[in-house]
This record gives sequence, structure tokens and C-alpha cells, in this order.
Amino acid sequence: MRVILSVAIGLAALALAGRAEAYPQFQLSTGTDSCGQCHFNPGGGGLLTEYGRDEAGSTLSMIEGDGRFLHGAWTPPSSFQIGGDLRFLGGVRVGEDTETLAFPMQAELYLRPRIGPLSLYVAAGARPSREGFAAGSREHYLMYEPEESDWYVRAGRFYPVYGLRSQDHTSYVRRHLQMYLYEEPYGVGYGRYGAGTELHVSAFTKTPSAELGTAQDSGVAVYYERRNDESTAAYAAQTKLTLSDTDRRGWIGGVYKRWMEGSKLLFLAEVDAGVQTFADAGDADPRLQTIGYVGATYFAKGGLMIGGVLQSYDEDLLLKNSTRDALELNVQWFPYPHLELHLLARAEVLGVAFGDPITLVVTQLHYYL
Amino acid sequence: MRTPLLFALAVGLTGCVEVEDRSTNWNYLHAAIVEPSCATIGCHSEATRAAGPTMLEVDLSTPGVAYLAITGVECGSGDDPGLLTERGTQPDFPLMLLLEGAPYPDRDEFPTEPELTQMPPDVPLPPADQALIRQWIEAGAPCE
Repeated sequence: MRVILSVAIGLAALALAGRAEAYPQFQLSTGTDSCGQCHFNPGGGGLLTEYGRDEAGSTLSMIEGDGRFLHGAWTPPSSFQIGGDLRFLGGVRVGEDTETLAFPMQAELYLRPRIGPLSLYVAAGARPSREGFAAGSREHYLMYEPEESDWYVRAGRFYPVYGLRSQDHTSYVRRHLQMYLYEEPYGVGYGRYGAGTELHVSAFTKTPSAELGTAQDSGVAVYYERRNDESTAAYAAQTKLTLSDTDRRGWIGGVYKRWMEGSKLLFLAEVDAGVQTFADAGDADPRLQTIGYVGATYFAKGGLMIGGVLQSYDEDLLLKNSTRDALELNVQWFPYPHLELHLLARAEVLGVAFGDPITLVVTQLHYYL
Repeated sequence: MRTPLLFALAVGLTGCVEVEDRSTNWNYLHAAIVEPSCATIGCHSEATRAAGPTMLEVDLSTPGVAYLAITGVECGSGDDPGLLTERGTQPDFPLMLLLEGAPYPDRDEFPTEPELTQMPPDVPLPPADQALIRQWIEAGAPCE
């Protein structure tokens, strides 16, 4: 029984494990307009572009260095980009039972061979399993993007571009919007960039084998973002419609981003409203749902970011005691290129039990290749 | 104008519908609670089940396999939910101990499983979800 308990706790820890994506805080605040400037993935996250590596090596770190692959010891050709992410997490969760957490969180390699406008993107590494980790690939897609163009198309496995795309997969705007661990569906995507605008349209379907992941939905997602002339504010409208064997969901939402250069403050917000209906569920009523995310990040000197986030998810708006709320503090320090130390403290409340929050405190050491 | 807005805000903050007004249909409960909360990649998913023979091989990814795993009978077979009955009937079935967590005053009744940990182990279900599952058990764990 102890073995079972240990495995259960280990898998609970793995619920935290996995991928961290792009840092939406860097958009606008570092002079970048879109995720695709620093990442090859137009939705952000994963392998860094040359520009992204330069920024990581100079602007973002306390001590300036070389953000290139292996600190510049060897530079892969532009036709075959390589990178990777390694993360280790340690911490404690305080609830009914206090639990210590310490485990490798992410070990992934990114490859991007390219021939002209055609590229293949592969993120391969470890995924959570009963044994701890098993080999897997969350993302792999072919992408066609003519040079100096303002559009792309891609097909394969990737998250539809939607929402803030927080690096934290446990954030409500990912966890409860079908963007949790290994929920990447298969699909096609199209994107177009304009003067201060970007549009992304995705159509997707569930994974062909349940052993590849847990995406069970087919659907479409549309994300349209517009920035002001100074690129200090961005507004986005979005919608996502999904269909599975057991339910249907429709979401509409919006995203707001505001960078205040004078005070070095960045505000990020997302709100989504949805309705979920059920298949073969007799008299079950549809559920109205809401998800909210409001965060502020202060960019201090020395590669330090300090942020606070308030999140709320109501899975059944009309039903009493069905809400989750969370207040969290993030301290992220980038002392040297390729290195990050992240402290996360979160208090989460279920229903109206505001006097009895579940507290999570974790630190994460991150190194990217 | 102000009154409807305040009403909407109040509903959003507190809700107005009781658990008793919600369905006990298993397909509804599975899509609303079980699949999103329990069938994640590292937990009770088909991928985890395929990985090996432990208690965690329990697959809750579809309504059918989840019903069989929890009740011990196939949905539509016409059998009573045997597993629930064998373990002392509703609502003392350990499932509720798993979902509601410590202090588990009823744990002594299940000496073979003294170390059940609360589920989901990362963040428990909101009180409304726990109550919906309890209501389903008390209704005889219908599969439809």
C-alpha cells in the first residue's frame, strides 16, 4: 500500500510537471511585438529564434552573456536549429496533508530542420507516466512560411493559438481551457501579421491514439490581436468551439496587455466565458463557465521580475460552491543567460472556503540549451 | 439597469442553484468532473493505464471505462453497482473518502486501505463537485 501511496504522490507531483512555455511578460515590455519574434512557434514557447537568444543574452539577464546554443561554443546552421529546456522543481504543498515536492519537471529537446520556407518543428522529451517519465513528443508540425512574408500555415501537433499562453500550465487559463499537459491536439493553423495586428486560426482534432495524450476534442480556435502604435498596449478577441464524444463547449474571450515604461509595470489580463453542453446526458443542464486572469509584473533591475496574479474559474456559474480562486506571487530571476530561478507561491480556495486555502510554494531551476 | 448587473454579479460570486437541482446522469458527471479532473496524462488516463499494473492503472478517460472502474459493473448490463454495495453501500464507499479527504473518521471501516490519499492529489474537487458525486452514489450510482 505504501508503494501505491508513493506512486500516487509521485503522480500528483507530476501533475505539476511538464512543459513551461513562453513568457508572455516579455511581449511589449522588451520591445517585442509578438511571440513569433523570439520563438519559432508562432504561439510562443520552445525553441528560441536568433533574436530571442540575443535578447536573453543581453536585455533580460542580470549579467550579460551569450544566449546562443551552448553559449556560442558551437553555432548550428540556420537550416537546422537546436535547443532544449531542462527544469527541476522543488517545494511544498500545504493542505490536509503537507507534501514535499522535488522532481525533474522538464527535459526536452527541440529540433527545427528547414529547407527554404518549409520547416519541421519537433519538441521531444519526457512525458509524465506511471514510471515517472516516458518518451513523448508534445509538438511536431510542418510549417510553411515564405521568407519576408507576413503569413504562415502549419499542420501537425501543436496548441491552437489562444489566450495569454502563460508559461505555467497549471494557470487556470490553460488548465481549464484544454491546454494542460499533453492536451496538444492535431490540426492545421494559419496566421497573418499586419501593422500592429496578428490573426491566428486553428482547426484541430483529438490525438489519434490515447497513449499520445489526452486531447479528446475537435474544434476551431480564432485569435485576433491588435496593438497600439507605440506597442505598449494590446487587445485581443478570441473564440474556441470544441466537440468531443461527451460534450460541446463554446468560449469567447478577450486579452488585454499593457506596458507602462515609466513604472516598469506590465499588466496582463484574460477573461473567457463559455457554455458546456453534454451528449447523452438526459436532463443535464448546460453549464455556464467563466475564467479570469489578472496579473501585474514589475521589472526590477538585475534580471528580476516580480509578479502577482489573481485567477478565478467557475465551472458552473449558477451552481453554489463550484468556484476555484487563486492568488499567487511569482519571483523570477535571470542571473545569467540560459539560467532562470523561479519562486511561485499560490494560495487556492475552493468554493467559499476562504479561510482554508491550499498553499503551494515551489522553486524551479531552469536551464535552456 | 443597475439591479440586473448586481444580480448577475451576485450569481457569479455565489451561485444560486443547489446540487439537488443538478442531474445524476453519469455521462454528465463524467464530462463535467471526472474527465477534466482525473483523466489527465499522468493520472487516470488511458496512457497511464497502459503503462502498468498498479492501482493507478484505473482508467477514467471515458464514461464507460470509468463507470466500470468505479462501480465494478458495466454500464447497461443491468447489474447493480456491485463494488459500491460490497463496500458498505452509499455514501460510505471509499470513493467519497478519496474525494473528501482527511480526517477520514470512517477509515477504520476500511482496514485494507488505511493510506488512501485524497483525490485529486494536487488540488481537491470544489465542494459542489464532491456533493454531486455523493448525490450520484446516494441515487444508486446510475449509469445513465
